[in-house]
Amino acid sequence: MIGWLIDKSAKYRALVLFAALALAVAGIVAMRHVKLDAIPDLSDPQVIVFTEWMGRSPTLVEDQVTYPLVTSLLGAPHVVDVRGQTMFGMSFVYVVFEEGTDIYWARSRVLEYLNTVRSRLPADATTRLGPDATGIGWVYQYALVDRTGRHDLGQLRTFQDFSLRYALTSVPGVAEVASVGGYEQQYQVTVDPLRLHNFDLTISHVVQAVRRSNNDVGARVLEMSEREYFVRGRGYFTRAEDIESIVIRADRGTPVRVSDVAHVSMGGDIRRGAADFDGKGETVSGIVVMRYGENALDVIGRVEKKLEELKPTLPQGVEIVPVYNRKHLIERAIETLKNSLTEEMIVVALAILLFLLHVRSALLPIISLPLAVVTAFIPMYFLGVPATIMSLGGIAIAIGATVDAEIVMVEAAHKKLEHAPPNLSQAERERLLAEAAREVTPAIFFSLLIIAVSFLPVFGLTGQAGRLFKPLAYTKTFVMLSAALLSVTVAPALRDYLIRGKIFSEAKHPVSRVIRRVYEPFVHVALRKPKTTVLIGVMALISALPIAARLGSEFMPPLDEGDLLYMPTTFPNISIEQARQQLRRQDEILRSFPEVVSVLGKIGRAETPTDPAPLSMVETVVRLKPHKEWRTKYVRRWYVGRTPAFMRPLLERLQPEFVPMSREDLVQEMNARLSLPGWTNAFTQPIRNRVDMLTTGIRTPIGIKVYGSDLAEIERVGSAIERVVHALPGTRSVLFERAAGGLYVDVVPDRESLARYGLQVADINEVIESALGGLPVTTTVEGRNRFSVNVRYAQDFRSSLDAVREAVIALPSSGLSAQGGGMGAGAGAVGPTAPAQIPLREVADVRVASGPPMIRDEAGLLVGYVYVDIAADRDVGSYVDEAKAAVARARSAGTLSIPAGYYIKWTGQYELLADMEARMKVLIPIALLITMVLLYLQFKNFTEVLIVLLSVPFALVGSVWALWLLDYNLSTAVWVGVIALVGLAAQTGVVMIVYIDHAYERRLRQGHINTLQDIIEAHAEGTIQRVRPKLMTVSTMLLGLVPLLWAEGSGADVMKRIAAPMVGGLVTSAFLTLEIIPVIYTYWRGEQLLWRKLAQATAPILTWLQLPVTALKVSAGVLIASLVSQLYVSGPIEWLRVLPLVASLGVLVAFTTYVFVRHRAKLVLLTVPAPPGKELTA
Amino acid sequence: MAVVRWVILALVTLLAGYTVWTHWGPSDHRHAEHEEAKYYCPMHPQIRSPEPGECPICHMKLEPIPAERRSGASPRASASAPSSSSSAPADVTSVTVSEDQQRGVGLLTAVVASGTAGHSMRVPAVISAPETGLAEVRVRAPGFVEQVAVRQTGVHVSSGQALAFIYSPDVYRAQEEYLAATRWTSAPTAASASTDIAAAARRALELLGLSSADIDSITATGKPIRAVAVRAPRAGYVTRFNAVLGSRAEPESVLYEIADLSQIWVIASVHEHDVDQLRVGTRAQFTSASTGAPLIGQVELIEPVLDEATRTTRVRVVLPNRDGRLRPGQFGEVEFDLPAAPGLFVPMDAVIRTGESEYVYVATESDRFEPRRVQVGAVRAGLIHVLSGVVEGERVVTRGNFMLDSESRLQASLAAAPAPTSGTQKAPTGEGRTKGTP
Repeated sequence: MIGWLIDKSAKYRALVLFAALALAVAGIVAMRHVKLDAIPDLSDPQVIVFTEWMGRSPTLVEDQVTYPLVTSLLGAPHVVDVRGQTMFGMSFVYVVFEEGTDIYWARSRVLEYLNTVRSRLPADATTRLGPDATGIGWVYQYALVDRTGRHDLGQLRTFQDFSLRYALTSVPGVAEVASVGGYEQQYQVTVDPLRLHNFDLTISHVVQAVRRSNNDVGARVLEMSEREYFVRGRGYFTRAEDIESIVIRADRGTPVRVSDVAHVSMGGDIRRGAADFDGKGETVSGIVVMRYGENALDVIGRVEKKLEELKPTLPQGVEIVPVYNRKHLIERAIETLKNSLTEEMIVVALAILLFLLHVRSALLPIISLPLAVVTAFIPMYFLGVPATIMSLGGIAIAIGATVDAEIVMVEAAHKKLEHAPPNLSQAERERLLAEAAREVTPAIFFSLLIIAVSFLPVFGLTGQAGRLFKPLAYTKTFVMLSAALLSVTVAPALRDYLIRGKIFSEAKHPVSRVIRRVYEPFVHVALRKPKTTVLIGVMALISALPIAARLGSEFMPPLDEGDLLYMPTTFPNISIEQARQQLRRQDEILRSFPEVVSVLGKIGRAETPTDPAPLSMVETVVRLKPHKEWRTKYVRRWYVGRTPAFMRPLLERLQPEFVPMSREDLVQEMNARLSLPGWTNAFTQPIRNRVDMLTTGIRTPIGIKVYGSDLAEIERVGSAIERVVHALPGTRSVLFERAAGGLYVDVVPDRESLARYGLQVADINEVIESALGGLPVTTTVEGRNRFSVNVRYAQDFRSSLDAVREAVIALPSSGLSAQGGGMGAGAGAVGPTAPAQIPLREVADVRVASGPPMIRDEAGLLVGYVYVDIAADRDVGSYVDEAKAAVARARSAGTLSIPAGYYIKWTGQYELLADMEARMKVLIPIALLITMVLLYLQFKNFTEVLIVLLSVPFALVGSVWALWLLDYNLSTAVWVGVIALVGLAAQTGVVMIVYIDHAYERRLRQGHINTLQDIIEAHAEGTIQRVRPKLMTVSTMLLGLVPLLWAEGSGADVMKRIAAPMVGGLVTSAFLTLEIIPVIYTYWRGEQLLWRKLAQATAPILTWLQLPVTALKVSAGVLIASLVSQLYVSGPIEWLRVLPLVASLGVLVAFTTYVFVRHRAKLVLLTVPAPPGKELTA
Repeated sequence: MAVVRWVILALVTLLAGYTVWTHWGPSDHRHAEHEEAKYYCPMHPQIRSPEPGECPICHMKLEPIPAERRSGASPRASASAPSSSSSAPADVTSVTVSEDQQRGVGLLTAVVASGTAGHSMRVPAVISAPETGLAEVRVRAPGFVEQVAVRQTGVHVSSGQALAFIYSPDVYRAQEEYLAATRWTSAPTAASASTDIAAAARRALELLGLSSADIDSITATGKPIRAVAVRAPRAGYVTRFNAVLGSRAEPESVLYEIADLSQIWVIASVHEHDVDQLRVGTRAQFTSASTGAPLIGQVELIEPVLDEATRTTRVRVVLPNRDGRLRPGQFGEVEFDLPAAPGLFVPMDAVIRTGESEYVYVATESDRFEPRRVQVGAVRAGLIHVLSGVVEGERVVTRGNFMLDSESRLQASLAAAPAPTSGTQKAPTGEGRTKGTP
């Protein structure tokens, strides 16, 4: 069928070329419109339900907000997990949906369920859905800088909140603009409790008075003189004076105004975050959060344009300074990848030119290469795969292999034409070319398919790794498929046009000659001394095994984002004032580095549901200058003081003494300077950090969740489990995350005393809430601005425990009706009628207590996590079984008691790993099976298939060496590279065997195969004569990857980790396949020859030879089957465990028997008259 | 070429031997010895490892533990610290903070001083007219108000000033009797007994409330006064008046009320719990809207009973009021200077309260700080009374406390781990230092 397609494409070449042109145009259009971002969005489809109930302690918010929310959302459809997290005054509920759920569908489900629960929440708690974005959508951040010093922070924040924010939110693609830093302005009514006491008022009188004094009303219309007039009652207050003049009570015409008992001013609301710019003091900053699935580059472009438009409207002296802009990263990353792609194409093209030394022919692969790449963008566009480092990387690692088909075809055509007479007719030429194409193209088409198929397991990745690498797998597969398609359509269509003119025969070709001269003796020696060759291979394998076992591992390969994120942490309960000072100090130090462009410090959280940072966490964005402008550092070179002076300039050019600082150097220096007591430093990068911050649950291999209703009890159980699990062998670390550390001031009412005074708890609570906490009483409406009005005690009356104890509570008998402190001296004569109020301490105990700074809630219960990390060589599944058994034992032994209503759940990454394992168990065999089927279709011989697959372990040797030398850890990126390598290695094997087979079979047909020497010669011809196409395919693959290895800049690191195992593997597989495959192949053919001869001689010993082979096949089959079945069949079936042992014993016995019998057979053969020729010496 | 092969074989064999040796051979004793943990997770300081890597909880890169943190947490350093285990609170440890770092956190210390720092108590108060300065004006015999001299409240009257004139038949009769009596005595026939009668009549007039000046003028004129003046018994302000022209005045009704405000009383309402701290003579400062600078007086009287309605005891402070700016009924507040208790004091900010214990950081050297549990007493003007835990002359940290405490907790949690490779059995601190990973 493929042959048919090739022929037809050659025939209707105009049509095919026109279609190719159309495809190219479509591809270019798709490339222009495809989404751009730095890395794929790694977040689960999740909806954040964010509730603000300002000023309430975590435990209170948990009980009244998070718990009802979590329990009601549990029932929503397609929900995987509902996780609640409660902080001071805030509740975050993360509703995680099944992968692939449409986010807007999910959001409307959550809204539905919210409707039912809303009535159960406190009236003044505001619940809303988070934006349709995640922290990864933080693409742009700016600071408002006022260089004139004429605007205070409150004014800047007001401008940010009410002008800038709305303007930017209206930009398409922006989900939300989060404000951080400064303070929200509010009217603060600071009440003097002593004066209140004197007027016999309580704070609730003030609250009521203020609340009732701020409203606008409408009263339809009045009709006067044929016109209608809208009636409005104007009662919003707009100034502090308006509030001051509010009357609380009038007594015989004497008003008691707010100003009599309180002071009204404009001030800052309580803050959970602050921002600092360059260590120069506090600032106001805004974070632009991008919507899910948007084109980041476009969104940033629009935001920048909008900011430019807004410039004239800024308050005088205020500037908008960008402090983080992902555009640069995206551009740099895309640029890096683009450069690499271009370099790759050029290198590949040059390699082809060099090997063919024929420009016209070289054009064929050179044309189809970009065509294949461009075509890959069409499915990308339609499937919505954004162009990121990953997806472009997929193209980059595929490039080397795309042109293999064309190369092999062109080479075959050259070979055919070499021997053709010079005065060839057009028809004759075309016939020859078609013949060449038919000979090799199907094989190479199959190998392209194999490369594509072998990547199948990558599609089985789940979770973040899946989200990260699936785009890469997609694009790589797209490129491979389009390359395969082009190789059987466009390439045949073009070949008659391009393969023309004078063609170097391989014998005359300079490059081929050099290669042959080097390679020929190697092959001869290898074939004659096969044992040493095999030994080299075995030794290489052995050398790689221990390295492979010791490679480190990492979750995600580093990505140089160009900017730094300084993220120190301290203990909970830091006060905002202290936090601010520390932040400023840190920023000052950071700013003093000459490599730093700007520093924007953020402590605590930004006003967005996508940021759950506590006040104890700093996230400072440090923008760095381009690497070229960094300081240099001195490196003492070996030549200093050892070489004569005249050599120095040359040496310095080669190995400069001053090299630019590396990122690590800079970070190290910063780290040293920033060693501040009480902080643990961490340097990361903005996107990386947002990925880390994503709420993805437990990330250790194993987590034990302890569910229950009381935190103290959970802690007890968690610690007990910690001890039990700790004792297990294979435990690397175990840690119960303790929830304490928060500080509380508890006001505990004494119910006895309350009863005596006739007070209810609500009376106390009212005072605690309003007097100490301050209640947002109402909101003013001033044009576009909205400010809340807050009533609370003056600072002095709530700044210490003693002051809190003094807060007064009005006794129920007193009230407005009691006429306090008479106006005349007559009353004074009998003393003042002091209002009946008592201090808080009379009826409540005020004390400091420790408690959780943050509370987790899952499935409607409080939960504590025990994190368990296990040793790398420990199998997760059996470990979990053992740990479960240990916990059960401890429970029955009584060392671990879990109260009724409490339960534990085993979870963690191992669930994901198990899931992934299950997928891989299906996908890898399928990939392997398809590969084998494809190979079998090609070779029609199972042994040859196995020999081809032999190249895979040798390729892996190279990748392990490469990783070891480059000091790369094992990460998913590396695995992806390894998986990609398997396909490539198989391909090199295919190419090798195809040519050897060609040579062998030709000779066999001619009857030239009679001795081992004949075989060796045939194989030497197959390998040496056709070294050019093999080297061409390998070197284009290899050279196509090398630019990735030397690439510098953003995104290069990830690609390097994918490319390194591929490059290493290709080098060794090239060397080892060129050497070892012929040798193994020769062994096999040698045996075949022996058998044939024995058959000719009708020696009965042949049966004895065939017998152990059959036994070998059977026992090997059983061995493999039993080993494989152990992966799939669980349960301790005893005989299944013994089977591999028995089978491998069988293999050993069969093999030794064979070797022994074979020895005898050769002796037998010597006695019968053999055909003339050399002796069998193998 | 065969040579090349042998070389290659030798090289590969060597490599294989090397990797097997380095990676498998010595790895046994590598596991055996417990290497010192050199890396930790900045988010979860309990996670430590002798090799760089990633945190199993948050996947952040493990950062090297700063040398000073490691040494600070080592048992050698804590053993050298002169702290007994009983006085050291849990979860914290002595820390070394270089002077440069101290500047970074704005660390300040203060000396533990013995002293008698005063303490004050602020309570609401109201001015009232002194009970001692009150006077009522009444008639002693029923009569009719003929003329009103002082006809409004609030005016100042001097002592003896005539307030109103009252015709009273009883008084009139008494005058006539008196005049008759004097006439008899002045007559030559008068006997000594008649002098007695005149004196008795005069006394009767006096008892009816006539001033001796009025009596003298009656004597001089020889005619009774129709409407007798009612005079102010003392200087002061008229606070009530009831003398309506022509109305009938009875002894039962008060015509005028006069309050002497040259001194006023400040009545402070003191809650039950606080009243025992006050003594007669305790210095008191009164502030009100009109006073400006606080007026200083002292407690004159503490009422023996508690006002049931207000649950307070009234405490009286007497203040002079020469210029009359203090007005009864006026509100204000009184700050009592409470008796100073001798003892050790540290600034209030020095004490860290965790709910479980209270402790301070004592500077044992210029760069070393030791947490010390203390027992605290009352707070006096920003100073807190320390009952035990520190001795006089020691320096305690007053600013930068939070950072110091965090550092201390950090080092304590770093030191708390047993073997670094075998995880953390008990990691008491660092709790709650979590990222958003629910």
